[in-house]
Amino acid sequence: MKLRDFILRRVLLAITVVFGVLTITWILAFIVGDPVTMYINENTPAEAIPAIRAAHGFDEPWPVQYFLYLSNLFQGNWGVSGSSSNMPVLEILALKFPATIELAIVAMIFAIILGIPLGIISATRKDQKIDHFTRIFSLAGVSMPIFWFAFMLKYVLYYYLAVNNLPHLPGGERYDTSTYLDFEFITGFLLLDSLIQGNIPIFLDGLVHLIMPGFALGYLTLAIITRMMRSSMLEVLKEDYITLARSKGLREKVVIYRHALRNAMIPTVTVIGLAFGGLITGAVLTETIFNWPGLGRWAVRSILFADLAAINGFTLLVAIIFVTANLIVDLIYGVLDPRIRFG
Amino acid sequence: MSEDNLVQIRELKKYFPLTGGVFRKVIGRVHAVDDVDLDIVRGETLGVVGESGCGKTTLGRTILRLLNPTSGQIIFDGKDITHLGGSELREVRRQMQIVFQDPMASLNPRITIKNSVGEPLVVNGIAKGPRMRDMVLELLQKVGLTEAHLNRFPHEFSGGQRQRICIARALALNPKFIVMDEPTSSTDVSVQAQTLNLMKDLQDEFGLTYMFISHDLSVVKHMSDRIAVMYLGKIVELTPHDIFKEAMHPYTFALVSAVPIPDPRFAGKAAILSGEVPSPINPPTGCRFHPRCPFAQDRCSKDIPELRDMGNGHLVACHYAGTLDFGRSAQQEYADSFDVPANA
Amino acid sequence: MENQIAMTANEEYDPMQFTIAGITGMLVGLVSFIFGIAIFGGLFVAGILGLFSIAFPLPEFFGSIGLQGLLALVTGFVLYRTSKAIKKHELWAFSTSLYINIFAIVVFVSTSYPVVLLALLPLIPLLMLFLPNVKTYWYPTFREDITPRIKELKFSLRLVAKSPLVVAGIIILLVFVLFAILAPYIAPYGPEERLWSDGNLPPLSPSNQPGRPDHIWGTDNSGGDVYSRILYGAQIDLQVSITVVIVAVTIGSLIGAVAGYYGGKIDELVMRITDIFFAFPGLILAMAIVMALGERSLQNVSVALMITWWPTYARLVRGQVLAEREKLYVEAARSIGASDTRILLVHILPNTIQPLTVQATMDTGSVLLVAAGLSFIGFGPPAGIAEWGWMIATAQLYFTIAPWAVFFPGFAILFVALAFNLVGDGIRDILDPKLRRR
Repeated sequence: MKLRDFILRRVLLAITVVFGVLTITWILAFIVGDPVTMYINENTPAEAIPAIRAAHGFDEPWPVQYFLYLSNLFQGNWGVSGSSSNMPVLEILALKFPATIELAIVAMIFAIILGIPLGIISATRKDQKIDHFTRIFSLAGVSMPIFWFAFMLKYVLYYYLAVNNLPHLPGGERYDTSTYLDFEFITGFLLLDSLIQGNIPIFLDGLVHLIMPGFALGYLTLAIITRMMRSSMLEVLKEDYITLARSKGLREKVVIYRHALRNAMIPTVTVIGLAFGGLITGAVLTETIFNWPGLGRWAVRSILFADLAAINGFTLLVAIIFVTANLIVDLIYGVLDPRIRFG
Repeated sequence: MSEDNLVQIRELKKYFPLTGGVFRKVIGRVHAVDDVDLDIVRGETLGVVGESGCGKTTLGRTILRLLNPTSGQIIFDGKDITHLGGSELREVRRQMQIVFQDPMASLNPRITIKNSVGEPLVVNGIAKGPRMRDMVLELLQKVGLTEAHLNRFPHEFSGGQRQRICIARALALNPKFIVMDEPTSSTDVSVQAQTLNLMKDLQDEFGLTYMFISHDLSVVKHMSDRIAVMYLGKIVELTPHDIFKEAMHPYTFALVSAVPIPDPRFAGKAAILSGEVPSPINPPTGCRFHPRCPFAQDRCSKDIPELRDMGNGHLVACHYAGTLDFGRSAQQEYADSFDVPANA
Repeated sequence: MENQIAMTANEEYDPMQFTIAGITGMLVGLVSFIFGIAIFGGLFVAGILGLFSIAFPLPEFFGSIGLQGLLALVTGFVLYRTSKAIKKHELWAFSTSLYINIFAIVVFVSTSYPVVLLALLPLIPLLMLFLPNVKTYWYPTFREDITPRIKELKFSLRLVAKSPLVVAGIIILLVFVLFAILAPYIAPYGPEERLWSDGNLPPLSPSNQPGRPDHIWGTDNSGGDVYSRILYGAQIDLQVSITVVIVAVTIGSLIGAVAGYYGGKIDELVMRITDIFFAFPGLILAMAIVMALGERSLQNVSVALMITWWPTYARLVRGQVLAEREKLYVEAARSIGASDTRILLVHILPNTIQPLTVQATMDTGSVLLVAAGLSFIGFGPPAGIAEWGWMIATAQLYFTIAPWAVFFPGFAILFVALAFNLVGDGIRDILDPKLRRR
C-alpha cells in the first residue's frame, strides 16, 4: 500500500472511531442514563421537569435526539456543569486541561528517562541480580494501585519528613499559594508561563511540586516501558544481524547501542504512545490525592455531584485524546516500518 | 473423453483478488491458475513441475476444492464437482485426499497421532473408539509405524515419520486420488527415497491415482508416468516421455538445463535461464514465456499457443514446437555418458 | 476397509437377531424418552409458573417423578444409542442394553419411593464402570487418550515448580483464596462490625471489649477492624475480578472466534466496534458506564468492567483464529470433510487457549486494580461494605493519624495483583515453545 493511501485509511478509520465514541457516550448519557438530570438540581420543582425536558428536546424520538446531541457537540455546546457553578463544560475543560497535560508530560519524561535504560540494562544482564531486581520493580509497577502508591509517597516524602522537621517535598497543589498569589497564567502551563515571564523562583517551585505527583503517575508507564524494552531488546539480541555484528569484532557497546537499540525501540515507541491514555486515566486518581487542579480531580468531584454533563464531556475529551495518540503512533509506526502498511 | 480419466479439468481458472487503496478495493488479480485443461488417468502418477509461484500448488488445491475455482470445470470420477457444496462436497472429498509439503504444520500439535489419523474415520462416521484405534493401527503399520507410536504427539516424531503419518491419514478414507504437494521437500534425501518408495508401494496396493507436485525434476521423473510442466499458471508441456531427453518446449528445456550435474567434467555447464519470472498480476500477452524465450518471434507476443499433440500423447504449448533446435544440453551429454558401456 | 469392519462382527450371530434387538431397543428408548420429557418438562413448566407465583399445587409423591423423568430421559437416550450400536452389529451393545433395561425397570417400579432413587444415584457412576461397554469399550479409550495429556501436564507442572516467582504467585493467590473462604471463621470481627470507641487505634492495640483478641492491623476511623475487613474484602474483590474476567473472556472469545473464522463483513464490523471500545481508557469507560447505570452497586461495577474488557479478548481470539485458520492442519481437517463447527471447536479454539489463559490471568490483576480505583473515586459498593478500594477511600482523610488503615488494604491489592501478574508471566514463559521439548 502506498504511504498516502495508508495515512488516508488510518485517518478515515480514526474519524469513524470518533463517531463511534460519540455514539457510545450518547447511548450512555441519553439511553442508559436520564439526560434531564444535567439541567435540574434538587431545588427544581417536580412539575417543572417536563418543561425542561421539552425545552432541550429530550422528549423527541431517538434519532432526533442523536442528531441534536451531535449538532450541539459540533457547535461547541457541551452542556453546563452543575457542580461547577453552571459553567459551560467546554470552558472548564479548556481551563483544567493544561494542568493535567503538564503532569502527564512530566510523568512521561520520568518513565522514559528511567524506563529505557532500565530495560536495556535488564536485557543485557539477563538473569543477573540487576535483572531480577528490575523485573520485580517493573512487575510491582504494573500491579500497584496507583492511588495507594501516591498516598505512600505523600506519607513518607511529605508528612513524615515534615513532622520531623526535615526538608520535604510539597504535599500537593501546583505551586505554593501563599507566596505566588499574584501569578498570572498565559497558556495555563505553569512551567512555560513562569519561564516566559522570567519568574525563575516560581518555575523552580512548580518543578518541585511536580516531582511527587509526576513520579506517582509515571510509575505504571515506567514499568510498562521497562518490560517492553527488556523483551524487545532480548528479541533483537537473538537476531542474526546482531550475531553478525558481534562476529565482525565490534565492541559490545557498539553492538547494543548502534545495532540493537534502533530496532528494539520500535515496539517501545508504540507502547509510549498508548501509555499516554493510561496516564490520563491515572491522573484521575493521582490528582485527587495531590489536590492537583486538573481534569481528573474535577471529574472525580463531578462524580460525587452526579454531574452527567461534566462526566460526558470529560469522557469524550479523554477518548478523543486517546484516539489521536493512537493515530499518531500508527502513522509513525507505518512510516518507520513499511511492513505494517500491509496489515 | 474416455472412462479411464479419473479427473478431468476444463478451462480451470483460479484468480486471487488483490486489495489495496483507502477502501481496500480489489485493484488487481493474481492469475495463479489460468485456463488449464488436464486429464488424469486412473492409476497413473501425474507429475507437475515448475518454479515456485507458477501455480502448481494452487492447481492441486483447486482440484480438491480446497480453493474455489474462479471459473472452469472439475469432473471427478464422472461427476461435476465444480459447484458442489455442503454434504455432497464432503462425500466427494472422501474419495480425494492431499498430503501437504510441511508434515509438522499439517498435524495438529495438540492431538495425538491416533486421533489425528483417526479423525477422517470419526468425522465420516466410519468408526470410533476401539474400532477406530484398530483401523488406525493398521494404517500406521502400513506406513511402517508401530503401536507404540499411537499415543504420541506430532512433536515427538522425526520429519520422515510425520510425513508417513500424513500419508496414513490420507489413506484412512480409502481414497481414489491423492494430491502429493511437494511431500518430500522438507525431509532429508535419505528419508526422501524411503518415503517415495513407500508411496509407490501404496499406490500398487490400493490402486491409487497420484498427482505429484514438486519442483525437483529428478524426483518427479522417478515417480511419474506423465509430467506436466507449468509456467505462470499455464501448462506448457505435458509428456509421457523423459523430459530430460525429449523436452519440446523451450521453457522445459531451460528447466532441465538448469539442473546441477553431479560430475566435475560438466562443472559450470548448467545453463541458467536469464531474466525474472514476470508478475502473475499482469502476465505477458501471447505466450507467457516469450519475454524470456531465446526463440521468441513476433507471433509469440500476440497469439496464445494452445496445447498441441505432437504424437505419442506429447502435448506442447508452443507455436514452434518441433521446429526448434535447442542443441544438446549438458544434462543430455551427462545422461548419455551412462549409456556407453564402461569398458568400451 | 469396509470389509474389515464387517469382519469384526462375530459370524455366528444371525443378522436378523441384531435388527430385531436393535429396533426393539430403539422403541423402548424412544418411549422412555418421551415419558421423561413429558414428566420433566411438565415439572419444569410448573416451576416457571411457580416463579410468577401462579399456584400449581402438586401432590406429595410427585416429588420423585421429576427425578424419575430425568432418569427416564437418560436411560432412553442410552438405550437409543445402544440399539443403534446393535444394529451396527456391535456385540457389546447386547449386554449393555440388558443392564439399561434392568435399570429402567427399577426406575419405573420405584414410582413413589423417592428415597430408593436418591440412594441409587451415587451408585450410577459405579455401575457405569461395570457396564460392559464402558468397562471394555470406552474406558480404555478414555484412559489411552488421557495418558499422553497427563504426561504433558506433568511436564508443565515440573516447569512451574522450577520457577520460584510463579510458585510465589500461586502461593499468594492460594492464601488469599483461603482468606476469602475462611473469613467468617478466622476473622475476629464481622465485616461491618463497628466499635466506635476503638476508632483509629494503631496495629496490635487491644480492644476495649474484654475477651476480644487484638486489632493486629489496627482500626479505621469508624472503629472497624482492618484485619477482619481485609479478610472479608478478599471475598468481594476476588469474586468481582474473577467473574468479570470469566464473563468477558467467554463473550469476547465467542465474538472474536466468529469474527476471525468467518471473516468478511462480520469481522470488519466487530473490529470497528472493538476499535471504539479501545478508544476509551479502561477506568474512564467503566466510570462512564457506572455513572449512566446510576446506582452504586457491585453488580453495576461488574457489568461496567465486563463491557470494558470483552473487546480485549475478542481482538486476541480473532487474531489467534486468523493465524490458526491459515494453518495446514485446518486445511487438512477440511480436506477430510470435517464441518466448520468441528474445525472451530476441535482444531482452532484449543490452540488459542494458551495465549488467552495468559492474558486472562494478567488481566484479573488489572481488573482488580481498576475495580479498586473505581471504588476509590466513589463508584464502588455501597458505603460500609468491606472492599479494599473503598477502605482506602474512607481512610484517606485520616491518613496522617491512621496510616495503617490505608496501608494494609493497599498492600492486599498490590499483593493479589502482583500474584496474578507473576502467574501470568510464568505461564507465558512455560508455554513458550522455545522452552518446550517440541
